[in-house]
Amino acid sequence: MPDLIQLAQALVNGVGVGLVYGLVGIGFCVIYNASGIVNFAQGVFVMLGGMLAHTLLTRAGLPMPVAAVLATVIVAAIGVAIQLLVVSPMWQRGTSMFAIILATLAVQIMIERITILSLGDQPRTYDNFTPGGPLRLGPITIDYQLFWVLGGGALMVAALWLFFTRTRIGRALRACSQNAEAAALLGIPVGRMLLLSFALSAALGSAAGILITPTQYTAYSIDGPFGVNGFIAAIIGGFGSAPGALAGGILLGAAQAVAVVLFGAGYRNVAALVIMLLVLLLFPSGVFNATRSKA
Amino acid sequence: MRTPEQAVVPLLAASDLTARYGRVVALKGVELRVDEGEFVTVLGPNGAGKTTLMRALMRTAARTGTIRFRGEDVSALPTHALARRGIILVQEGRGLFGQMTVRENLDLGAFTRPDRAAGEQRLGQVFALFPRLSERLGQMAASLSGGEQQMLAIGRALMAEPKLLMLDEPSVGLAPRVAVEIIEALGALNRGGLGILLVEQKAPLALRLAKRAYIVTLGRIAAELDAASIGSHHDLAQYYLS
Amino acid sequence: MTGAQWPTEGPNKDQVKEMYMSLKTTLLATAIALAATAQAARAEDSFKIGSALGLTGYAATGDRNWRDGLQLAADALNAKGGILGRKVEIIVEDNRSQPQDAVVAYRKMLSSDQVNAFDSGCVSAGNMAAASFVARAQVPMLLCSILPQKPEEQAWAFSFLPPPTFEIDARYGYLRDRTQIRKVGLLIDPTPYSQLMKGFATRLAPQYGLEIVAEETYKPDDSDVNVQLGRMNAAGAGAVVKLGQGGSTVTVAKNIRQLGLDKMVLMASTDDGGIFKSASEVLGDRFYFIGSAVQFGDAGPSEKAANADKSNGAAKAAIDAFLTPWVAKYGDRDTGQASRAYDSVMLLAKAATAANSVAGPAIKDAIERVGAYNGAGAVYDFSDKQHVGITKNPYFVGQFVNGRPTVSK
Repeated sequence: MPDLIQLAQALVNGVGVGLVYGLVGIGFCVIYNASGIVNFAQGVFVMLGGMLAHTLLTRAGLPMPVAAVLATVIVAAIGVAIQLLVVSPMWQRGTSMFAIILATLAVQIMIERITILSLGDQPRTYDNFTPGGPLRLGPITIDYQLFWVLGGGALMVAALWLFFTRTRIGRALRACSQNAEAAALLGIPVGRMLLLSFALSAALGSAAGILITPTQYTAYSIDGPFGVNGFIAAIIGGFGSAPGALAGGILLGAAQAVAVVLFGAGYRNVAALVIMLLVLLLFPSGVFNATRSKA
Repeated sequence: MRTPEQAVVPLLAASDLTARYGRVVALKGVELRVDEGEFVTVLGPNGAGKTTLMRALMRTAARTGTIRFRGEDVSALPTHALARRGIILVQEGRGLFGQMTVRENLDLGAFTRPDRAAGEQRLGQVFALFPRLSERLGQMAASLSGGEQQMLAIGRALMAEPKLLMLDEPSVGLAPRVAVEIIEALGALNRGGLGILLVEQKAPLALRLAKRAYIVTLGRIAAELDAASIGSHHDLAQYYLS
Repeated sequence: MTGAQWPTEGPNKDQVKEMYMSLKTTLLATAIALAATAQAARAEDSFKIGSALGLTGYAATGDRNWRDGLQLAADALNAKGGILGRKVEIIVEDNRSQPQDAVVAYRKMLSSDQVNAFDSGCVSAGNMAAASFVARAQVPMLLCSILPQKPEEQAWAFSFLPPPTFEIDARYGYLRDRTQIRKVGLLIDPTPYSQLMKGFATRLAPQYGLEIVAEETYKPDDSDVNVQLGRMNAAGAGAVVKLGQGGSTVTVAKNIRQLGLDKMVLMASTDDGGIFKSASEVLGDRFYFIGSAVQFGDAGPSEKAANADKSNGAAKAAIDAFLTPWVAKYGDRDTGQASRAYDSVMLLAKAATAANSVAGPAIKDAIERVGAYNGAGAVYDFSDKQHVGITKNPYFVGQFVNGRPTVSK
C-alpha cells in the first residue's frame, strides 16, 4: 500500500508546516486580543526572520544561535516600530479599525519592497541546524529540521503559556484583551501593552521563519502564503484563542498534505479554504464571539 | 499631626470639568472636591451625567478642565497614571476580567504595587472585608453571583492601594440586603481613613454614610448639600422630579 | 482569551469626513503631479518602449533582470544619440505576475504613454491576455515569453525566448549521453510556459530513449513538494526534470534531501543564477541547470565569452558589449534573461533605424528583415515566417563546481 505510506509521509511533513502556521496564527491572536487589530503584516515577520537570519549567517558570518537570536530581536524591534509609527498614531486619532487594518496591509507591501531593495529578490536558504539525516523509520523519512521545528515550536508555546498565566505582565496583557478600560483603570499602561503585543507577535513569527527556512526557501515574497495560512489557522481556532490557533495550524497543515496526496497539488489551497468555510459555517460562535465586541 | 495649611489641600479637586460625546455636551463646568478621608456622594437621576463625570475624572472620556490630586495638577495624566497615583474607579458594571480567576483579578488589582509582602497583607484585609471571596479564589470571575462580583470589584480596587476610591453605582442589580452589605463595607473603609466618592441613584442608601453630596442634573452640579442639610433629605425629591 | 474591548470611541462622522477630504486632496495632488510628468515626457519626443513586468509575484526574479537588461541597452543607445535621434525611454509597469494586472498595464502604456513598441517580461499569460488589443493597435511586442496563440496576434509578437524544446533537448541529451538514468519524472507548474514544455517533454522522451514514469504538478508558492517527489521515487524516476521557474526549485532540492532520496538528481529549468546557486548548495553534484554561454564562468567578461562558440567572433564581441557594463553595474548578477533583454532592445533599435521610422507597422516589417543577428544571449533570426528568434539551441547543461557555474562537458 504505497498510498498509506505516502499519506503518513505527507502527514509528518504537513504537521511541521502546520505548526509554523499555528505560530503565525498565535501571532495574529496576540495582537488581536490586545487591540482588536487584525495585523495583516503578520507574514512579514516570518519572512524577515528567515531573511535576516540568512543575512547574518552568510554576510556577517555569525554562528546560527547568535544569528537566530539577533534576527528575532531585530524583527521584534520592527514590530514595535510598526506599532509606534503606523498603528499608534492612527489609534490615538480614533481612526476606524478598518483603516488601521488596511494600513497594516500597506506596511506589508512596504516591507516587501524594502526587503527587495536591501537584501535582494533572490530566494535563499540555509542548512539544517543539525547536519545529517533524514531519520528513516521504515519507508518514512523524517528530516532532522522537523525535530527542531516541533521542539522549538513546543518550547515557544510552553513559554507563551507560562508568560500569559504566570507573569505579572503576561496577565496584564490578558487583562487588556478582556477589558482594556478596566485594565487602564487599575494602572496597566494599555498603550505599552499593545506595543509589547506587537513585539511578541513579531518575535514569534520571526522564530517560526527561522525554524522553517531550512526545509524550504525564503524570499521577500513568502510572507503572503504564511500570512494567509496563519490567518486561516487563527480562524479555525476561533480568532483570538492562542491554543485554538495552534491546533488550527496543525490541522490545516495536515489537511493540506492529505489533500495533495488524495486529490493533487492544486487542491492544497482548496483544502485550506474549504476548512475555513466549514469552520465559519458550522462553528460561527467561535469566530463571531471574538469579533462582535469590536465591530 | 496636620498643619492647617495641609488640611485645606483637598484630596481631589476638579474645576470647570467639561466633557462632550461628539457634539453633545454631557458635562458642563463641573466643580467638585473630595477632602482627605471624606465620604462624598454624587446623586442624580438616570442620564444626568454621573457616569460621564466618573469617566471624565479618570480620563476614559475626553474632557477639558483642571483636576488636582493632593495639590498636584494631574489634568494631563493618562488613565493608568491616575490609577498609579491612587485614584481607583470601580466602574459601573464592575469591569471584571470575566475569563480570569478571582485570584488573578485580585492580583491584577495590585499591578502597580508589586511588593509581594504588602500585597499579601492587603489581600488579608480584603478577605476580612469580604470573607466570601477567599472561598472563590479559583473560580472564574464571570461565574460569581452579582453580589460576589461587586465584592471582587471592590476588593480588586483595594489591592491597588487607593487613596481615593470612586464607585459608580455599586448597588445596581443587587438584592437590597446585599446592597446594604456593600455600602456598609464602604463605611468601614471610610472609617479607616479612605476617601470615597460614591455615585448612586438610590439616595437613602448613599446618604446613610456620606458627609457631603453633589446633586447632578443635566450635566451640571445642581446643588451641593452639606452634612447638616443631608439630615433632612426630603427636599432631594425635587431634583429627581425635574 | 476572548473578545477585546477598548475605551476609545470610534471616529465620529466629522472625523471620517475629514479623513475622506484629506485623502481626496492627496489623490488630486498625485494625479496633477503625474499628469505634469506625463506631459513633460511627451513634449520631449522620445522613443518609448513599454514593458509589462512581473516585478512582484512568481516572475519577479527573472523580470527584474529583464528590466535591467532593457535599461542597460537604453543607456547604451542614449549615449550614442538614441534611436533616430530620439531618446530611448523604458516605461515599466508591474503586472504582479498576474494576467489581469498585465492587461491594465498594457492598456495604460498604449493609451496614456503611447509607446512605440512593447518589450515585456516573462509572464506569458499576461502577454497573451494583452496580445489581441496590442495587435489591433499595430504596436510590435517583443517578449521574454513564448508567443501568443492566434496567428493575427503572433504577427505582431516576437519572442526572444529560446523555444521550449531547447530546454528539453539540452537536458534530455545530457541524460542520454552522460548518465545511466533512463526513467524521468516531470515536475510541472500551471503557467502556460510550463504547460507548453510539458507537451514537448512528453513527446521528445522516446527520441532520447527516456521513459516518463511520473508527471506531477505543483504550485509555485507551495511550501513543499514531498508528496510529488515521493510518487516519482516510487515510480522509479532517477531524475526530476523541473518545468517551471522560481524559488520552488530550491524547495524541490531541499525536499529531495529531506526525503533521503540519495540517488535522485534534479534538472532545473532556465532561471536566475542565484536560484541555481542555492539549489546546488543543497544537492551538490546532483543538481543540474541549463544556461546560455553568457551565464557560465565568473572570472570576467572575456572568460565568459570564451565559453561561447570560440569560432564565432561576432558572438564574443556581442557578449563583451553587454557584459562589460553589466558586470560594472550589477556585479555577478545573473545574465541569462538580462542579456536577451539587452539584445531585444538593440535589435529593435537596428530595425527602427533600418526602417527610418518609429511607426509600429514599419518597425514590425523591419524586424522581420534584420536577418541573423548575433546577440549577447543568443543568435536571433527573425523573418516574416519566424517570430521565435532563437533557432539554434543556446543552452548548456551546467553544475556548480567550487561555487562557480560550470559547463558539464
